Amino acid sequence: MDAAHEFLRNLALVFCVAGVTTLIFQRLRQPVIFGYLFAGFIIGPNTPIPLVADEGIVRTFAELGVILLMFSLGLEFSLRKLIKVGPAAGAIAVGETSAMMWLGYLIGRALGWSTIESVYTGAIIAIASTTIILKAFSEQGLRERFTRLVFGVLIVEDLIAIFVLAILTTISSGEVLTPVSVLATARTLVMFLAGLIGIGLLVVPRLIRLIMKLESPETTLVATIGLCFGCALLALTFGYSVALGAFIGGSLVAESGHGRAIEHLIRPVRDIFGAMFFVAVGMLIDPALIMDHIGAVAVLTIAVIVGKVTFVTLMSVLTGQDVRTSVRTGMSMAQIGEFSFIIASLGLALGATGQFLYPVAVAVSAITALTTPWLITASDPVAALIDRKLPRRLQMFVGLYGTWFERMQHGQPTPGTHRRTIRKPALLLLLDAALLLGLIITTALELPRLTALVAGSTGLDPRVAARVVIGIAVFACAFLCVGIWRVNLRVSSELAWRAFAPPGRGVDYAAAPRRALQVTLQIVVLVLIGLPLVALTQPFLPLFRGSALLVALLGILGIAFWRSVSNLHGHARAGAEIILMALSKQMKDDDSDQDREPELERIRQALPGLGEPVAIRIVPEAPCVRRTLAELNLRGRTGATVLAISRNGEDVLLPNGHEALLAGDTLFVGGTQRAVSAARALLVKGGTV
Amino acid sequence: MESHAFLTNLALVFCVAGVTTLVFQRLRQPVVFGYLLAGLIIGPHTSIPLVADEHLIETFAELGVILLMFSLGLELSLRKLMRVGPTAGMIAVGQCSAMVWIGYVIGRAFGWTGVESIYLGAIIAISSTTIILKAFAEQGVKQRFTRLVFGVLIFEDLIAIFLLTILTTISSGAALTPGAMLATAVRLAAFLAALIGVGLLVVPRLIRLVIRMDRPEPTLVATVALCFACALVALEFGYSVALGAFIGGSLIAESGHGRDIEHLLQPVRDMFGAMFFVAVGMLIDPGLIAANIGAVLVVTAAVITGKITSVSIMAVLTGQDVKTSVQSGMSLAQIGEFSFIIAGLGLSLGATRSFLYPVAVAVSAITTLSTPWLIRWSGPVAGMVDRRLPHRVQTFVTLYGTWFERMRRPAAGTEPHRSLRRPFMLLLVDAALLVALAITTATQHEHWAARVAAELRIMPGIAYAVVLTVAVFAGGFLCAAILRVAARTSAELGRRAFPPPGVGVDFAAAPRRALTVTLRIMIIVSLGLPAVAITQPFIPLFRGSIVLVLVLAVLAIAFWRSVTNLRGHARAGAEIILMALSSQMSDETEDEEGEGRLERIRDALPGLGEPVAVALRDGSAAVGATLAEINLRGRTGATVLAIGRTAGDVLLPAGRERLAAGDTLYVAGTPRAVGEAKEVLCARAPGPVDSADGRSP
Repeated sequence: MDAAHEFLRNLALVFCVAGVTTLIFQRLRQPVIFGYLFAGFIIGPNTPIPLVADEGIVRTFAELGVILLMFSLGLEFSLRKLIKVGPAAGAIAVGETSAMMWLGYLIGRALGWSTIESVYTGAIIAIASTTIILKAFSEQGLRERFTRLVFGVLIVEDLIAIFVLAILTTISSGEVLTPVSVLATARTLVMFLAGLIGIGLLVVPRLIRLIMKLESPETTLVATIGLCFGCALLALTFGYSVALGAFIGGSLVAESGHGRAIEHLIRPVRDIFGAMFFVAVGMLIDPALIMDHIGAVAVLTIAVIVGKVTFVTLMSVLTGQDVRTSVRTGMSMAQIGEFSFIIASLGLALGATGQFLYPVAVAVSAITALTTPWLITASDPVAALIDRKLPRRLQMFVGLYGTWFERMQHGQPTPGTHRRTIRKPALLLLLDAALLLGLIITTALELPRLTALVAGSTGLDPRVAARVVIGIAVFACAFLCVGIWRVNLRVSSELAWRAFAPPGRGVDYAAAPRRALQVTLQIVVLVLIGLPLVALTQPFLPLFRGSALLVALLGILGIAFWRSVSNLHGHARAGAEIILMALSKQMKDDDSDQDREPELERIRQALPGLGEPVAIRIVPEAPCVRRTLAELNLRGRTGATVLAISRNGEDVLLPNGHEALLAGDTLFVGGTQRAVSAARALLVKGGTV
Repeated sequence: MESHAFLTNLALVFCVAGVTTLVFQRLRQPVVFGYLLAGLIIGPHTSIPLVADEHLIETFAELGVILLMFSLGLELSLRKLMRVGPTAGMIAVGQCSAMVWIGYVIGRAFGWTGVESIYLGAIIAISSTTIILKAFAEQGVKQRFTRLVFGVLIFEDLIAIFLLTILTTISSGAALTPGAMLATAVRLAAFLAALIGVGLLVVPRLIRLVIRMDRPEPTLVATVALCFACALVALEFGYSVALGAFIGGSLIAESGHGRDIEHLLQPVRDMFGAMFFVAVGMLIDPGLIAANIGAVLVVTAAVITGKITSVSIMAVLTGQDVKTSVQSGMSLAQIGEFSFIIAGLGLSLGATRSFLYPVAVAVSAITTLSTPWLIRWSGPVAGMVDRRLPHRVQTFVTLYGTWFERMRRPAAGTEPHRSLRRPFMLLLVDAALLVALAITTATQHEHWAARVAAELRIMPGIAYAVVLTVAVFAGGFLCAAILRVAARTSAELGRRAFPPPGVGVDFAAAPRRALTVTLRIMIIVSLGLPAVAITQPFIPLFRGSIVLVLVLAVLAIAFWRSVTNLRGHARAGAEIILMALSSQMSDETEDEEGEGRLERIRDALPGLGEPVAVALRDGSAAVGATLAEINLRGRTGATVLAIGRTAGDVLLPAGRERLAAGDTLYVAGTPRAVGEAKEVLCARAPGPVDSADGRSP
């Protein structure tokens, strides 16, 4: 029984130390995770404190902890939830994780790390931490709308992380990568996933429902843990990470509809083993190693904070969120956590990365977790600041873009036909992207063999042959790129036309907004396809080449975007003028409010893309009187834009922030319906959003 | 990768256990049995090619024991102990001692070594809280006797802890000198006192601090830390981890948040507990059981009959009615986790041979299976036992409960507690001395004989005889002292229940005598059984038992006589009641006055359980049925002293007596029993019936 007592001794040590540290961290209002990490650090071999736990035992429990953590993540994840998250969160997650992976890879290479290590670095900084964000939100009592977006993005991120885990396990299995082996492993992975999910979906939810009917918590617990460990073991047997199996097991259980009840039941077990996982992570922290790589830690920390904030914000603006929501979402997600530990420990366990990556990841996570609450608190003022500092035309664009997105989603006439016409090009895009990916990877890996083949059959000089091969590949790539570009163009213009249907005859007043929308959509599609493509191919391509291409394309689109935005500004100014003219004429005729509405309606019809402006009259007792638009922070707080101010004597078109409001002014406010109503509340009642 | 071995084994265990528990849950059998079966399947003794690593499972099983004991401790707080009161404690002490004694005797009869026999006794002494809890929960039993059962279980847990410590000491191989034993006892006491004392100062405050944060995760981690730490402390001092965990749990329970924490900890406990039961199942070797099939059957029979008998008798002696007593007894007739722990302890210390563990597991498995059935049948069986009891014992049992109540709430003016504490202390000291004397003499008599021979220069044989004589003389002296103090104490208690009248005839003589004798039996049993159980390994087989049996036999004869006496008393009392009331009926007096007269009779005739008159009306459901059919005593615990009837009164009616409309029943028993009896006799009638009181028809 000596071994058993050895276990007891170690567990008692771990939990006693962790009990104290978590209490302290709880008191300091820090996430519990860091209590565990600190406990691990104390009982680890790298501190002079004479409390040392057996690493083997702790790591044994830590593996069970990872399994249970992933299982309960899977429990929270279900297909239904994923569908409910909506395309916006999905697009944001895909875009920003790809960008982060790309950034991480570049940093890794720049620091002189190996390709695989750089790939791991990218994966480590790509996934934000649900635990830390949850903790920060609940501590600040945040329940605003943007938190829902954050959680949606997190769910998709989890899914992406699972795929990254699967891919990383495959990549770092140590074999030499050939297209055949990549294809084969990809095929086994797909078959494994399909088999596990397919059979699982048939069996597991039914089984769970059967068990739940017995209403015995103990039986449910035992069966659930059996399933969890069983799935993990299955994944392990097929050579994948246990985390993957456990996550799939959890989501299969969640499909039964009892996920919440089971999660509640399993939580204490998960907490206990999960604690062991974080303690094990903490035990690996070697201050000396971190000091050696202090530069890497600093660079990666900056990359996480700046990169996450920038990419998430940009992506969410591109998917039609207003500036404030976007900035707050971005600033909430600027940290890494448990997934990074799992990925780092996977790399360590597979021998794919050096010892240093793990502590670096922990250090970056610790720093970013500390900054997260600050960033969240600061996100509101920062959002307002950014909104004020944006170029005028961009302000205008962002304010209106959301309304266009709404128009596009609600579809103009005959939505059914449009859906169908969109799906085909979208599939085409994916196919093209996959082909491009395959082509690049094949060329990169098989270049020597292909060269030899070409040289052998044609008798060319090997160097020339290599040129030929690369030339053909580049040509094919270019062909595919052009294909993508063309389809992209078609899709985005189709969508733009859907938002702003052309008039049968006469002047096309919607031309400017349609053009702006189209360019923006083009950028969105390009980012969504190009970023993952670059992230996936960069280990195979000479450094920076894929990135350079993407940046070049984006640059072109950026210029187009800028021009269309300038255009839009003119359009809006013209529109505002028309509105004012129409209304002032009407006001002269008669002053009743009722008559004004149908007139406004006519203008809306004639001038699409101005966010269906609404007239708001400022009464003398309104709290906003004598305050400037900048002071009110109208756009920042509500997302609505003031197109024009109608004032006795002088009208103001597209007012800037210095414009002070007077009693009797009529503001023409454009924006999404929610934004406009929030603006109305702010202007009339002085209430908050 | 070692960790993958863990994963493989855990996955195997939980997948198999998931299936088996599901099956057993469906069959409405205890889940524990599913674990045992899962263990059997993945164990090395079956031909199924699923074999888990025993060593790994055992590692987790130890954590399981710790968590199981910890959550048992969580359920035990001092407050809870107080509420169950001394009744449960006495029942637990009595039945555990009896079972240890029975187990020892059986072990010796099988020719096992003394230590093995002690282990067997300890193994069959402790009932399983887990199994009973599960059985009660599954059958939805929530009657009054369950509270008594849980009380007994709590005390049994305490006794088990004590047994574990003593067994650890005994089998540590050290020579059993009285000095060493005393040292062990002192060390244990000091350890417990220190752990509990320091713990009480620190733990509840800490837990309250943690709970105030209102975060489940730190609470969970802190609790688990405390649990493992306490277990580790106990381990470091050479005691079992179970003891440490148990104390840790009860310390946390003192914070008042035991229930929350138990709820929080439950899944963790269930998970590791499952590992424990699976590990037990893995140890089941059908071949080994088949080889010891005789022992398994005998021990099983001993557990079931022994537990039922000893618990029932002890419960009756402590003033419970027959139904409660039998139901409690039948609920407690199994062994479980403690038995595994004790058997495992013996195995790991090398004190017992390997056959004892599978025997314990097999017996536990069989009794686990039988428990739900026994609980289901306990109601009918209790009724049957009640009907089959000799008439006079029936009367006695019914009235005994009322006396017990009287004794607890004595007449005003006396100062009972001070006058009783001293004799009780005296009894304890005498018993301790007797035990010490027996053990010392048994272990040291040769040494002493040699010394006496050397000092006095007499033949060793004679010296030996001298030593023994002295010891027996001293023992006899102590026994006599105990008997005398017991007699005095019980007489004092009897007097307290029935204060003798200053002048005139002492109508209370018969019940007081019966009560005194019964109390004396109770004292002898609760002192003698533990004394015999403790000393039996040291003195020649059966000798201590014989003394106890002899003493008990003498007392039993006295009991029988006093019970017979009591019956005469009850009959005379019933007659007086009837006479008094019939005269009252002829006088046509007012109701209040009738009630007043009954009151007077009660005063004059104590010990008849304050009889109440219940009039049967037309349309009452009881009309036309015999007393046996109504099963009045079995269902309510109240007894019918007499039936007043115009056609002729019936004194102390037998079960065959058929009730008729217009009868007046004089029902005696505890207030609760009488109240229930009234309901049974009147309320179930079809049609509106007033609740009957002292009114004559």
